[in-house]
Amino acid sequence: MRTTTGDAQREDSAEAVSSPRWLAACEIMSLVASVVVAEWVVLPFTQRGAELAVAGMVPVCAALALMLFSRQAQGETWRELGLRFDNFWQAARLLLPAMIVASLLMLALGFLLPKFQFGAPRVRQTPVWLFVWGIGWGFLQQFMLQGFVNRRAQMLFGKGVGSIVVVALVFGLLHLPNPWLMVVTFCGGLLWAFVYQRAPNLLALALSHSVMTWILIATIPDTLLRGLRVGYNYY
Amino acid sequence: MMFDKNLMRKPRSSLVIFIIAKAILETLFVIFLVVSFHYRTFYSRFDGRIDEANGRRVAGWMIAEAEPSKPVEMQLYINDEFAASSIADRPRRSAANVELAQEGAHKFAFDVPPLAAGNYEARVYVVHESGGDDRRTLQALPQPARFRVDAERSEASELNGGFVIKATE
Repeated sequence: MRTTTGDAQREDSAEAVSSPRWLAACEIMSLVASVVVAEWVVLPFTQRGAELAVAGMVPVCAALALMLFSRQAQGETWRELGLRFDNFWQAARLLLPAMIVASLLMLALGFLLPKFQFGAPRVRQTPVWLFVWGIGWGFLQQFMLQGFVNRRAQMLFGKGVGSIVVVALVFGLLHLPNPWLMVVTFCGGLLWAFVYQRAPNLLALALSHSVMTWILIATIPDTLLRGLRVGYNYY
Repeated sequence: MMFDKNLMRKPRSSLVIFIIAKAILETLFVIFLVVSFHYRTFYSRFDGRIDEANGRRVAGWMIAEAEPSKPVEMQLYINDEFAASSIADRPRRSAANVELAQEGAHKFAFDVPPLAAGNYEARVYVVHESGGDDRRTLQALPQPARFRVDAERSEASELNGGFVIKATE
């Protein structure tokens, strides 16, 4: 017999605690915590070099483990996350107009800013940097932001403005305290979250991320972007 | 509030456990980093003493326990204001302190800048570098030294165009 009021209350309570919405919020916070540790704790409290590299891997691996374990636990397929080709052009069509407008805006802004300078700093012109930044880093960020945060935000608020703004806010705030980068990533977050909800394709988003990053660093002076540094490293 | 039912699947208790475990491990990791940082940056690895302090000179000895042979930068503060810096790189070789010399004690000496008459407190700090020279902290030698500069002698010295100040301990 389990029809007493107390039992029913306990079941309600358990249901509330283990609801996917509650869990989705915890998942987003857990991922944000890992990034915050990487950006704000590891660098000031470790020694540059091997120690920093090893310590930096801890929160990165923790975040990756969370995303992979969560994918498994939630029963998500790679295709659902956006690792697919069938909707690449659909995503590209959604991205292109906004990317062109954003590029023109950045170009105009670049001309208006004092000490305008075209071209990325020399360190970013090396093939290794191009590969790592252009492909790997953009994809990793989009995988984290869309394949994880966006999907959990949708569990919380459903498709639409609410979840898109949450994704953009998370993306922008993770670029604290770099003001220019926060604004740019908030706007980028809005666009990419919007497109992902209509055509979830991480490859198109990663490509867009890379191209927009390149246009950003080629148009806006590095003195303002501060080498795209975030967290404690900004100082 | 509408939420996407297609994305919601049966919650897994293993995911809840994973998130809790991750939070605990990350907290321990942060604590480890902070404690390790504090130990390496602020834990005192120096010993020493001020043997002489007056209006002209502050001198003494110090031992860097971690690297006794390494010359160490030292700074003199008089009444909590920076006065001079020096490198302790001369081994202390005195018959009375053979043991200290063997342990790697180094002598240090500062020329004291001109002081007005009054009472002073001299503190000597060892500049401790950590974090691959990214961080520098000052670690005080255990005992400060107090001395007094005589007013009459100070004024006389200044009138003569110099700063040879009589000091008393």
